[in-house]
Formats: sequence, C-alpha cells, structure tokens
Amino acid sequence: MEEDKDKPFEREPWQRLLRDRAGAPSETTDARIRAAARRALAPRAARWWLPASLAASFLLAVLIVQWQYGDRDTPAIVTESDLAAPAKTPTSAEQDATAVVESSSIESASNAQLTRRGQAPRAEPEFSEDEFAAGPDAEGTEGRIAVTGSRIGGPEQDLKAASEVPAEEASDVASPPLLALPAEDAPAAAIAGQAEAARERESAAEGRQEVASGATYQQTTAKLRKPEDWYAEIKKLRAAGRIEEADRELERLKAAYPGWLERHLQEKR
Amino acid sequence: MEAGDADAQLMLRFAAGDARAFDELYAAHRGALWRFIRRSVREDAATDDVFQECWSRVIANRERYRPEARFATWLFRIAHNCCMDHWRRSGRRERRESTDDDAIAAAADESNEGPLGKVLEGEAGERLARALARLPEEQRTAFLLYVEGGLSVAEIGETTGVNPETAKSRLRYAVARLKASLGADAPTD
Repeated sequence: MEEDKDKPFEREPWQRLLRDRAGAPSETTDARIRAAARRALAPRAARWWLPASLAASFLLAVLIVQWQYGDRDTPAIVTESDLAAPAKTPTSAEQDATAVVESSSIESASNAQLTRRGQAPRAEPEFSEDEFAAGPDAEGTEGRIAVTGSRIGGPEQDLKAASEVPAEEASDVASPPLLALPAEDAPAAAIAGQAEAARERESAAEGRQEVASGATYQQTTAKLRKPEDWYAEIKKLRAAGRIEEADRELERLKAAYPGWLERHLQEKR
Repeated sequence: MEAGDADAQLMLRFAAGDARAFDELYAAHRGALWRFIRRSVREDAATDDVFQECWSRVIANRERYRPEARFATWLFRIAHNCCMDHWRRSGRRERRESTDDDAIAAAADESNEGPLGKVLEGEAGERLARALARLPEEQRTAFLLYVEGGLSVAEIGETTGVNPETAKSRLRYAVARLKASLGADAPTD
C-alpha cells in the first residue's frame, strides 16, 4: 500500500516518450554554467587577500602616525622661545651648543630678511689670529670692525638692526666715513655706527677712570709737556688777554718743574 | 547508499570548494532539469535562460544547502521557483490558460481522432508533448516533477507547496488526461 501511495505509476515508459523530444542544453550553456561555478569558487581563495591588504594598510597608517608623533619630540626648528625658558640650568657644554644654535638660527633669519630686501645675505666673518694681532690700524680692518661691532650687541641686536633700521635712517646715523656708503650697505653702516659708539663708550669709561685720579693725571700730562713749550703757551695766553688762565698754567708749570722758571729767567737775563 | 545521498555529498563537496563535484552533479541532473524546464516554460529561448538561472541559484546558495532532503528535491524546487518567476516576468497567466484547458484539449482530441491528424502528429512522443502542453500548470508540474525529477508524491507536495493528497490528485488527473490523448500508444501501468 505504501509503495502504491508513493508510486502511483511507472516513470520509465513516460520518460522514454519524453526524453527524445525535449532536447538538451547546448554545449555553450554547459560551459557557461561550469565556468560560473568555478568563478564562484575562485573568489574564495582571493578573499584571503582582502583582509590581508586591509591589515597591511592599517599597519602602515599606524606606523606613519607613530613616526609623525615621534618627530614631535625633536622639533625641526629651534625657536627663541624654546631657548628662552630652559627648564634647568644648562651646563657649559649645553650653553655653548645653545649659543651656536641660537646664533645660526637668528643669523639665518637675518639673512632671510636681507634676502627679502634684495640684498645678498652676509657671509659669516672669518678672523685669523694675525688679523686680531694686527690691531685696528691694519689694512681692511675698518669694514670688519663694523661687522664685529655688530657682535658687541649680540645676535639679537644684529637682527634688530637689520630688520628695523631703514636704509635712509641708517645712512644718517652712521659715522661720516660710512655716510658715503651706498644705500644697500645701510644696515652695515648702522652696525658700524653701533660699533663706533661702543668703542667711544669704552674709551669714555677709561677716561673716567683717569679723571678719578685728579692731580695725578694733571701732573702726568704736565710732565709730558716740555717746559719751554709750556712757557711759550703761557706767554701766548697772556698776550691774548687770558691772564687768569695764564697764571693758572704758570702755577702748574712751577709745580711740574720746580726751579725751572727761575733758572730760565736767569738765563735770559 | 541511495543516489540522493551521493548527490548531497557532491553538493557538500562543491560548497567546500570542489569544482569537480559540481561537474558530476551537473552531468547527473542537467538532462532531467532541462526537460522539466522545457516542458514547463514551453519556449526555446526562455528555457535556456531559466535553466542557467536555476543553476546560478544552485551555485549562489551552495553554502546554504543542508542535506535534510534529497538534492533532487532541492534542485527541482529551485527550478520550479525559477519557472514561476519567469511566468511572472512574462506576464503570462497559466491559470487563465488552464481555465480554457478543457475546451482546447477537447478540440485537440477531436483533431487527433481523424486520420489526417494521426498522420500529422506522428509519433507518440510528439503527441505526448502536445498533450502535456495542454495540461493545467499544476498538473503538468506535478507530472514533470514525478517523471523527470524523480520526486515522490510527498516531495512534489513539498516542492509545490501543497499537501501530498493534493499533489497525488493532480498527478492522477494529469496521467488520465495524457492517457486519453495518447490512446492506444499510452504506456500501461
């Protein structure tokens, strides 16, 4: 009964009648379907590359970010503010290194400003021991003194002078020999003026030290004069009507050369 | 071991990445599936499209296949759904066609009864094909699933979404009509 229920009639005779009439799929259709099956299986292997490439890209991105953050610890440009507030007292070696970096960075900034003005950046001056030994009267030293004068104020003043002082003002401020300099040398003239002023300040300080000694200075200077010349100057003062001044000088002459005036008068008589 | 179990193993191997298993499966079922679709769709051009669509779904759903039923049942259910989709796309209403089925079948039977009709119709196979084309869609599908797909009555009911009794009834009606069309050339049980 169960078999009759599941198999109402025989399939075979009906299959024989139908089989020859319906035909079959073409070889092209067979090839397409088999190829589709292989294509569907092929990406399975290729899928391994997708997560691998994604992971590689992510790793590369992380490395780049880490590299960038690592560079932040060592800044590419050392600014004045970095050097202005040191967290600790630097050692002498650190001070030297800092001074070199500061000098080079400010020098480069100064050169950059000069370049923007259309001027050639200054070359770092080089001095030999011979040039220093030759002193200020050595040949060609004058211009170099102007450059070294900029060193008196330090690199900050150098930068300030190069950036703030206009060419016209620089030519006015500069000393007479430097007035003849062309406009493009104006910053150098300003620097030379500063050097001159610094030298004057130094000599004035020396002079103040000598004035402090008072009479010693006068005696020293008086002794340097010859009594004959001195007496001749006194006579000129007296002839000119500057009697008081002549009397003061005469007293000084007597003090500087005791007995000389009496001897001189006797010889004249 | 039944053939169905062997097909299920081949399908599992194909799902695991064995392309040669698919070749074996395809070779075993291509003819029956083609005839089922050809008789259901009854258009040469559409048969090829529906046939490729059916195998494309088999390939795409290979990882969802579970050997709970025979592979042939799963395959012909997919084929049946492809045919239904084709009918929907083409806008053809098989049910309307089947409404007039009795009148058409009667006219065909009448034409076959004459000597000229018998000469023109030729072989029994061709007459069977014509009679099959005149069957209502449900009866034709049940008959083809039984004969070409090798499905049992229960599997036909499962595939077409009806209970086994309805499937069996459709099958009996189909065979009765076909036998009537073939006359003395009809296969005997």
